[in-house]
Amino acid sequence: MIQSLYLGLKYLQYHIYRTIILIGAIGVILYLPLGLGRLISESETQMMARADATPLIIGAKDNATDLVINSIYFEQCNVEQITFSKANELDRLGFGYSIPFISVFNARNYPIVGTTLDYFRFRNLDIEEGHNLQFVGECVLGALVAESLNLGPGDSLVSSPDNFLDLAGSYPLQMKVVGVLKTSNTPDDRAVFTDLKTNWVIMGLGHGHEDMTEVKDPTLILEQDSTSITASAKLFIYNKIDGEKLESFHFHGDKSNFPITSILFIPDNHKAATLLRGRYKTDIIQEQILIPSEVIANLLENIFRIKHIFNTVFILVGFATLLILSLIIVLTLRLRKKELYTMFTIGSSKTKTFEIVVSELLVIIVGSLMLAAALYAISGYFVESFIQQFIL
Amino acid sequence: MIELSNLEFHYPGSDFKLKIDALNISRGSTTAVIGQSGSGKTTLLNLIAGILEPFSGSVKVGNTDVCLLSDKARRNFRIKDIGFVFQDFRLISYLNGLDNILLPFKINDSIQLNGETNIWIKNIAHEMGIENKLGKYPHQLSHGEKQRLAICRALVARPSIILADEPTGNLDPNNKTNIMNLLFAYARKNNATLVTVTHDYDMLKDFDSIIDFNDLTIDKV
Amino acid sequence: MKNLLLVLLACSFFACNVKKENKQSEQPSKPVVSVVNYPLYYFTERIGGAYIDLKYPISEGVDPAYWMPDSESLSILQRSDVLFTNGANYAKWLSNVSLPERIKFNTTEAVKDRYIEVQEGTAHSHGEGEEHVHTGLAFTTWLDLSIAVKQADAIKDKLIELVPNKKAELISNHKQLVAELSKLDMKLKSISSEKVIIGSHPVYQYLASAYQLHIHSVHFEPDMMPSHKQWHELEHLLHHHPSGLMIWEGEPSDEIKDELKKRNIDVLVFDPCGNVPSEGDFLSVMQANANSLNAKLN
Repeated sequence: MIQSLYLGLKYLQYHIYRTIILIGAIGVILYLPLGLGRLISESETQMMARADATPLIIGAKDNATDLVINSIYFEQCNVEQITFSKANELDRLGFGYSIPFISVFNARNYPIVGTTLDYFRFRNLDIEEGHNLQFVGECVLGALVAESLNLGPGDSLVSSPDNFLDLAGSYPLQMKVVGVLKTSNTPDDRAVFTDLKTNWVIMGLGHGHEDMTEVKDPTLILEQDSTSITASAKLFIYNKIDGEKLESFHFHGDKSNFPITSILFIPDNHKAATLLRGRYKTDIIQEQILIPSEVIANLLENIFRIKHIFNTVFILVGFATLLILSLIIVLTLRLRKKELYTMFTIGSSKTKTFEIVVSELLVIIVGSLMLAAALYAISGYFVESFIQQFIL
Repeated sequence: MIELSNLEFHYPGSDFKLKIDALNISRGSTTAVIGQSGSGKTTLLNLIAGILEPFSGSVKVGNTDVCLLSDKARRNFRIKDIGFVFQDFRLISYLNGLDNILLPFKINDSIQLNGETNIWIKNIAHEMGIENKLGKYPHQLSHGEKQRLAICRALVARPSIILADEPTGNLDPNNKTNIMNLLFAYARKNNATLVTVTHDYDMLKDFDSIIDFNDLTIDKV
Repeated sequence: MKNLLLVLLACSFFACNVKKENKQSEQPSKPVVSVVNYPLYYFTERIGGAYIDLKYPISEGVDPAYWMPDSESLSILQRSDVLFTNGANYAKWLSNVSLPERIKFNTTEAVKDRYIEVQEGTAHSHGEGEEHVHTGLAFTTWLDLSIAVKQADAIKDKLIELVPNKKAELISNHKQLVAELSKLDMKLKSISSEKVIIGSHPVYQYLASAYQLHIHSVHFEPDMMPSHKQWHELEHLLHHHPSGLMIWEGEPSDEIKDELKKRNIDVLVFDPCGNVPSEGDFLSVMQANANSLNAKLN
């Protein structure tokens, strides 16, 4: 057997490129269903883990899936907004505490998530470098954002305006990076966290500008009487907030009417959650309350129905591979007929010839399996980041 | 001694038929087999080697009737007692020179490599003038080198019979003489029987005997 | 510039406080409670000071309404279990910092309907944008002592949540405090007068509203000589609301007093006591305020 294996290996070694291609092709075909299966199940697990770790979400009576996806994976879909007062109202009910969210802006393609410090505590997000949010205009970066943008405490990050032509609306804000979060392998790694108020500043709801009564450049004032001043658009609207400017920052209107996209609610206990959900079972309340795990489970059930299609496809591909492999073996044996006959002439048995061919096949199969296993192991290593990058 | 008596052979579905009433080849002799293409010269070699089984009659090598041997015994007989040399060398393309020489040991467990064999291999490689070519693959060798390598393979188990099927058919005149001289030298030195199919009539004078297939009783249907 | 100096002052004072607080944190964990001004500090200290770790990072001499925390003091505030806020947009810094919503507790939440709206600064607009005035709320709510009582009530309720095992003590302390506040409230209510008073600073809205006082304010600082324009504004006000009494947060400088004397205006100091007084405590200062007011008006 060892001699047959030796001859088999020599044959494969001599036709090394053919062997590599064959091992590669079979390995990949073996790996694909395994790898994809793992990716799907890991995605399911991770998506569900995130959803399970989020007790309740309250938002506008809009698309439930969009609302949950926006709130827990920070995928920016068009979610109708609610007012900040809803969070205060929920807090007053005494069922637990609420964490308001707003996620409508981006900074260099990463979502800006406006929330409160309670969020970091709730998700056990620790600071790796720098410190947590303190003042308006600051931001804390998820580990992945910091790494990919090569930013750290002391650097700055400018919010992308939602519309360049919307001059009266959001002004890009140069945010000061004050901290970087530890890697959590969750969508938090891909987010730029700010205080709610910083988001409102980007929305144009709050701003800082020179004191109108102390403006030195007369061209800034278009019109002035005893009670009012009209400033020209030249009046500098700060696009970053720090130091003295911080004190000049102010918001127009009642903050309780300011927008948020959703509220993450952490009930004190199961009873509190049930009671709270009961309150939303009426048409009078404009918002909906959602259990993320239910919404995501439902979503996954629909999305991963495709898994069954994959399985069927893989069975067919596997069958086709088997046929092609058989064809390759038959053709190879035909090409090697003379060689094998020489061996027989010299004194080899048909069993020996069979042994040589089988050992070659075994090497190819073992090689393919090893390749598939290696790919599986490698993909296991990258599956987390793949999911973070492309799925969550 | 190789003895063929009352031998009849034909390929199934073919109109070819070989009939030999009696043919004796004495041990240590060198015999040339000549005849027209398709006259049955190669078939004769295959019958002697036990690769083909006669329809009737017997093939005796020494005291052994090859026809009565089991498949395994026939294979062992071939590997131990017969050295094959082919016109087209029949080297294994994916094995280097040394592995090609050692092929018999790798395909049949009835012969084992030992120290003596290793010395023998060195000797015959030296004699064949290919001791420096053992690491090379067949495609890296000239025709002459290939055939000398093939002869080494044929001689590796020190066979008592060498069956050579047009061994010089693909060689230039110089190589032809060299190759035949090597085969004659082995046969004489080791008292081995050399049966060579050839179309080269110039060489016939060097053989002890000649079997002319045109003279044999060959019935053609 | 003044604000900057105040902030720097606060920071340097606070740097000293931090060291003390670090030592305190080694003690067995009491709930950490922070407050945004001295009245809340006083109420909280009186009701449950013994059972909590009370933080008040604002140094003497700084107006807590315009204080701005530095990074270090803010991180201490962020770690509090509860931060008692005054409501009515008091303490502007609250709008410009990140604090867990969970810890913020507005002591005037129950009396929001009693907030007094005021106009802040001048109406303005940006380019083509709509004209707007920064309207705000008057925030010295505690000058209406009935609101102060409500704030004390709210503090008591929250402290009971924090240290439920000291409920009896908290209720007892609260009762005593409320009795004293109510007594003072009654006293102020008794000082009803039709006299017009000029407020040196717009901080007396709740006092005026609660105790039917006619206070019209200008924007003077006790330690800074008003500008020509400011004097002109005062004269304009006096033209419409003749008055012989000006109410000040602190003792104005002699120069200002002289200028006022020229206009036959008497000076009355009514310290809103937003920060720790140099002498006495909240109640004694308020008592003194009430006595001065009573003396001047009656």
